[in-house]
Amino acid sequence: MHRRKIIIYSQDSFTAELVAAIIGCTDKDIIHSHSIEQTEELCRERDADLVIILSTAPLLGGRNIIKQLRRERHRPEIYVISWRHAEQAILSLLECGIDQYMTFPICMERLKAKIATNDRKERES
Amino acid sequence: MLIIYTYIFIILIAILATVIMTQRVINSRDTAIDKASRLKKFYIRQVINRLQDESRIPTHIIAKSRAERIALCEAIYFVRSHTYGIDSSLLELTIDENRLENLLLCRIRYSTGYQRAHWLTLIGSIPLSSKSLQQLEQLSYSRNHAIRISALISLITATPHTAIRRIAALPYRFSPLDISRIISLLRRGIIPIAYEPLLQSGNFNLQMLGIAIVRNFGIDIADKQLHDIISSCSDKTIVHEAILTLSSLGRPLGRTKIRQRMNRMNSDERKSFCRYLAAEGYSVQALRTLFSEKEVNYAETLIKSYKRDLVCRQYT
Amino acid sequence: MQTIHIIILSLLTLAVCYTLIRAISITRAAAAYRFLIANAAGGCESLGFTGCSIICYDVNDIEQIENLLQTEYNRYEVLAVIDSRLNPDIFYTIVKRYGLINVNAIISNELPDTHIRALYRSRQRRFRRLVLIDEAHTSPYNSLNCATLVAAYEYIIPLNASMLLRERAIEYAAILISENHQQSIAVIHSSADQECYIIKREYIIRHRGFSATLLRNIPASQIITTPTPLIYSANSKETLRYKVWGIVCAVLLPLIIIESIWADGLLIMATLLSALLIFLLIKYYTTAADCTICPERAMLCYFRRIRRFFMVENFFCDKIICNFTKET
Repeated sequence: MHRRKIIIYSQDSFTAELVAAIIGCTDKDIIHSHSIEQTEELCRERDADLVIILSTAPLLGGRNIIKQLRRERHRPEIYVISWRHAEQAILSLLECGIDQYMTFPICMERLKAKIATNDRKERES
Repeated sequence: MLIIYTYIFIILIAILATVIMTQRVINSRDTAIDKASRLKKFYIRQVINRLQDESRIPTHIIAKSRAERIALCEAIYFVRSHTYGIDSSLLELTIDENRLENLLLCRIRYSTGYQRAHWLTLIGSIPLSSKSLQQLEQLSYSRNHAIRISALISLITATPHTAIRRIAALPYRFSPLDISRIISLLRRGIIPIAYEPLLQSGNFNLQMLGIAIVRNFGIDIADKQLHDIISSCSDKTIVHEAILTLSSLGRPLGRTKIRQRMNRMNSDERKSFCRYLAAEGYSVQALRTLFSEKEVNYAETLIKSYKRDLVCRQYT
Repeated sequence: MQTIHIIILSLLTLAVCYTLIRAISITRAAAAYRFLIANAAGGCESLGFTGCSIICYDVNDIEQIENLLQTEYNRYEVLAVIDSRLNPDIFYTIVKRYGLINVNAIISNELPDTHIRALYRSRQRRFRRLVLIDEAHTSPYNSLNCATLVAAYEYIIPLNASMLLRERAIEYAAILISENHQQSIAVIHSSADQECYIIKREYIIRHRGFSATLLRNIPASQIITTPTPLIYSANSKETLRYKVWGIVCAVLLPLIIIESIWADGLLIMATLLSALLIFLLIKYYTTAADCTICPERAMLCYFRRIRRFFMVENFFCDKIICNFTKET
């Protein structure tokens, strides 16, 4: 059975560990990344199914990260989880092309349900 | 000559020894930090597994040494601050078995300043006995602002039904950071507070908290209460905050009372407000109801800089 | 004891005490920084409605803009001032990268003699915090004045080409400002090794713009000083190392020679041990407080302070303008 590959990018390793623990890794390969270049490289090498970015900073700096992560025929889902609640911030992230935006504090059940829905969609397609 | 050479030799040995010892101290501190970080990540995973365990059979999270117990406290606080809707009763056994409350009380007693505030913040994430609550009550009157606010927040987290009473009884004013820390408790669902009684209370801290709730949760329907505050409140800070909140919600600002209040502001404040409204996307027409002609011209230069002149010019 | 003993021992004691006090204050400020930032997560979007505008003068690397835009604080903008005729490469790189368009530039007349040719803003919502100012360059002060006119927020932070913001520095500055909102704060001075000033916009306008005398004679009630570092330099540590150790040898060797002629071995030992203690204190607080500044840079800033102390007529001038010269 195909094991889902999830990359979690965060400069704070504790937050990455928290999200990884919530998602659980029994049927998934979870890889932690500490820089955006490493995330791009991992996404390319391992054909990641989902990339979770735990900050809005990389998307606001100017690099077209979404385009770098989605290359050729491979299109991983991109979720962003951060502390920002302002409407303008959320709209600008959605305009970048991310698939889901969630805010901290996060509901564990909700995050797991979103990942499970995503899994189901992938299997059906 | 021999004495000089001896002196130089002793000096060089002393320098070498000091450098080596310092390097060792720095390396051991880095190692300790790495170990603490690894422990914290380990316990974060354990706490999440415990919270997600659907079997309800208590599993034991063991922390023996002091470093492990501190890492466990930090992990519990980290999980609680980043999540909401968790069942804290699942962690009670872990907290009791590892005597985390005693550890944190001890740490609070023997620390000072921001370190003490940090331990007070951690203790807010575990259930507290009446003895701990008494100590926190005492610390909530500390002269150090960070300590008293951290103690207050821990008290509010432990006894949410007393939140309004405690905030109303405070002899000092909240700063914006304090209010944002309380808002974060609201986001986690720890204190269920309705904004309306807060806006009508007449107490500075409660009103500021109420206005912050309206702003943070985008409660558009509260504009009537905000207008009432602007009309009747005598405190300049609260009125200012109410006007800025109305504008952050994009509500119309053309009422007479708002204009009258704004006329009482000094020119620096009015100019700053002008720039704020331009950045929020208010049009020149909206600003004409609030500002003088000179100020509107100033605002117009700002507003137009957000726009591009798309009219094509015809050259003869 | 001879006079020279007393003088040298007094100077050494003063230097060690000064460094010790500084190390303690910086370490405590770092603890406060870590605590406040950790507890401000998610709350910084509207911290007392305090806003900051960063002015970057003479930008020569797009990575600086990238670093500055990565701040998550809501009420914040980056104003990059470049002369498109002197630096067309970097200018058009920024325009292309961020999708900037020329917008209406009707500039207010709050400050005289500003030479703004054009203003650029981005169409993309996520870059709406970036403003590019095409200015006919005359002097660094004029560039700062141009950006001040365009700034939308109350507090201005001038930065030079190689300066970057520490993580969550803006949030910390906003916390400091909002906690002292009852006083009318004109300037926040970060007295860390890499100094930084956050100046209120209206204060600059009232004093007719940036100048060498802008920060003189500010009443004590209007200035907040913090030892917390807010910025750091992107320049390489390697070239600094030789320079700094060169300065150390140039200062210590003559002193040791004087002591060996006029004093005894004990004084030489005291000098070397003091120098070592100062170095160890600097190393301690740079590692304990902040990993963005290396001990060599901290020592260089230490020497600059001593030098500035003795240069009375330039006492202020360096504070802002030295940030705009190439890193020495």
